[in-house]
Amino acid sequence: MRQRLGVFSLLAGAVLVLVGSLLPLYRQAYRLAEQLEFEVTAWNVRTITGPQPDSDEFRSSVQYGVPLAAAAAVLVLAALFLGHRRLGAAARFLAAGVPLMLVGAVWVVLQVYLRLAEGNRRVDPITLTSPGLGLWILGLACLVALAGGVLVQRVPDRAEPEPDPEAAVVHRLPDAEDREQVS
Amino acid sequence: MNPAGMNRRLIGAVALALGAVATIGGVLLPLYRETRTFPGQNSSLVVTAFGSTGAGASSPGFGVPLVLAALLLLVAAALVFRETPSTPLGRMTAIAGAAVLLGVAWSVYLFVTNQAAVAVVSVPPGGQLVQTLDVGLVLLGVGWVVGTLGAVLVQDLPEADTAQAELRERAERVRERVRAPEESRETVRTPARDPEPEREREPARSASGRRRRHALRERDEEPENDEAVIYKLPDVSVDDVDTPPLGFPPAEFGPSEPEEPESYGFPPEEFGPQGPEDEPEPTTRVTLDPVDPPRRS
Repeated sequence: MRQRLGVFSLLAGAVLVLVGSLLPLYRQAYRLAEQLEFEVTAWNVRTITGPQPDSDEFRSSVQYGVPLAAAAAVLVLAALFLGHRRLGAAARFLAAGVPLMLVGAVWVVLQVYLRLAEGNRRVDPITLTSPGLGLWILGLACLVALAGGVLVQRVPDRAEPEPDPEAAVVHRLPDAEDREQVS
Repeated sequence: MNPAGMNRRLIGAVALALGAVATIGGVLLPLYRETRTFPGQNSSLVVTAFGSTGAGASSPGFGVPLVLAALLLLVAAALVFRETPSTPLGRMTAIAGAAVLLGVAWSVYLFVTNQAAVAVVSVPPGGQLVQTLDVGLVLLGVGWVVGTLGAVLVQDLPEADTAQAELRERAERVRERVRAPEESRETVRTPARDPEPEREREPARSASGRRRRHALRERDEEPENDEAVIYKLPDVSVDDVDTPPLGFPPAEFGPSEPEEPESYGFPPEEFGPQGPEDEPEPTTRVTLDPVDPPRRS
């Protein structure tokens, strides 16, 4: 049950990352002579109002989506290989690490946003920056993936109580995946 | 933990510490540098992890997550350096540090390269722009690689160990089966290895010892000859088998024993059939390489 919930969380985190990277991370409105508004996603910059850029200048935005997509792909792989006999340990390793990588990548985006949002506090701000839905979804994805990464870890069994010398001793066999025969 | 595992853990701890140091270096040193020599404008820009200085400086600070990652790596190195109850915690911290560092360093690299790309677009005609991806960025990359290596090395890897133990057990079982017919022969052969002490010990030997040897020989269907038999598996000169060693008739190598399992790949084919069963001559001298093949692992 715990394991299933963890796998589900990992997969949900991966989906949320992909969705969040496609949605706008933040919005910027320039208060110039003419109204100019941008929407920045993890892949590109979209102009909402104002003249559409005729050059490639606005296309060169930071490709935050690359590490995010890589993290989502590895999350899916980790979730798929958790039950594998050989690769299970590696999958758990990745399930623990990749959500934190996601945290690091989203943290950078957050720092960039916070730096831009500092401009809002000026007396006469030239630009107004507001967070987009993508930033929230990315944050949510981090939490979900982290929870999944924790849930799929193996908790060492609690200290077993001292057996009663008179009672029958029942040994609990390891899980089915460990009992698999090698032929 | 076995010595090899301990060594691995120590190397991993050192790698974690080195990764942390490199990351700190990357935080302190400039990530990117550019010099603009435009008509009517000379300016320079230096981007570090704590922001940027110079013309058009607007970089956000990436120092906090990077320093956090470096601290995690350092703490992990300290925790796993000695095998203590907190070592598992150190292993988790190592993963966390390497993972956060990967996410942050990758995104910072993307940010910095994007900034460089934007700067290239803004060069007016006649202007000159010199860009340098600086040593800080390289150090971040090095720190991540070394730190991740350390984080992997300090892990316990329990599943790999059980698989190894299982394999070893199976190999042992196979060896047992291969060795079974060999064992008795070896007992006969052993005194022949050093004939000098054997002769000295001979009178002191009790009758039981003789009986034992006799019994062994019977089981082996050894010809009744008191002479010690030395087996030699042709190791180098396989083609020289026909030459009678020391004037004795050559060994006759018949078909291999049916019960000898061949699929194990052991003993190797070049050793050929061995054992006294194939020799009709009682005085046949077959010499055996002192190295016992099934024992070798």
